[in-house]
Amino acid sequence: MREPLPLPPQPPPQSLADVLDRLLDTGVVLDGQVVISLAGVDLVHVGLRALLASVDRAAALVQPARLPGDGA
Amino acid sequence: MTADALYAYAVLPAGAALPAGAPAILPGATHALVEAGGCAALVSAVPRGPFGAGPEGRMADPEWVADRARAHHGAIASAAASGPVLPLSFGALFSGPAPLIAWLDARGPRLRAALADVAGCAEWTIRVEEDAAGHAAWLDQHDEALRDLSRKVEAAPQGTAFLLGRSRARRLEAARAARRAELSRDLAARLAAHASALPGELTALVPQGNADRLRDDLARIERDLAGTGLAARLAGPWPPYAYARAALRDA
Repeated sequence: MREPLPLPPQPPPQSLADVLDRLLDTGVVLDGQVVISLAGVDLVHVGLRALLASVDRAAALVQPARLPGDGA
Repeated sequence: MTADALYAYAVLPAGAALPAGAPAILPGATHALVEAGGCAALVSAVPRGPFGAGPEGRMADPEWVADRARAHHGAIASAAASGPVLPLSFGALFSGPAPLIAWLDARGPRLRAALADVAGCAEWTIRVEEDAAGHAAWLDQHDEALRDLSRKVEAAPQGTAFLLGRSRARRLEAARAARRAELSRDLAARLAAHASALPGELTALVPQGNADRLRDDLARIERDLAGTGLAARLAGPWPPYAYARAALRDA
């Protein structure tokens, strides 16, 4: 049976900085976020997070990519 | 390029519908569900090449990373608008359906329990912000020890004033830290009153029915803090990113 809606239909816009801040070090970790190999075949690879080791670093990354109208 | 991998966004309940109009991690990719373990993973079939650049390659391309972050969040937020989700960490790539099915099968009971926990809830975070100059000015007015030291600095001869000034600076830093900590403790307690779980110090999983009270509570606190150099900013609602990690830390 479908659960009740957990979020408002139109949540407030999230800025890219907020999104990156939220994505860093969150979400279910997959086997320690490394490449897991079995018989030479990689099963899980988590690569993007390695780019964003800290919130400060992410904030620096965000600056050139922020678009008009992203909000605060 | 051939789609030879699966980018996985989140775990959903078995039988969940695909989120309508949700962005995909790469332009042109579509969404699909892979069911196993009594739940389903929201995925996009993608070529693994763009994800294999490594830190050096993507450090030079922050816009690419930012676009992927937007898409990852967009897909998860769309799914969360119609039911419970457990976000996977940003950048989760499986080499095909078989390893993803094995991953889901091995964790089915814990994933289903966590999905039940987050049903009808959203994640909220409070951030404590400080205007250092404003906070110092407020403390100057309200901290008796600081006021006393300021008076002594003004009245003392130059050498003594220098030493007293250093004492005053140390007292100011201690007072700032103490007041930030006190506010954080108070906010954590208020957040806990509305939450079903606390995956972080100032991050809470909040039932939808409590969200308005949480907002009202924070609005009152923000009004009370006006002009004091400290502020409390409520951010949300978010899909349960922090809760998913905390609940399945050892899965």
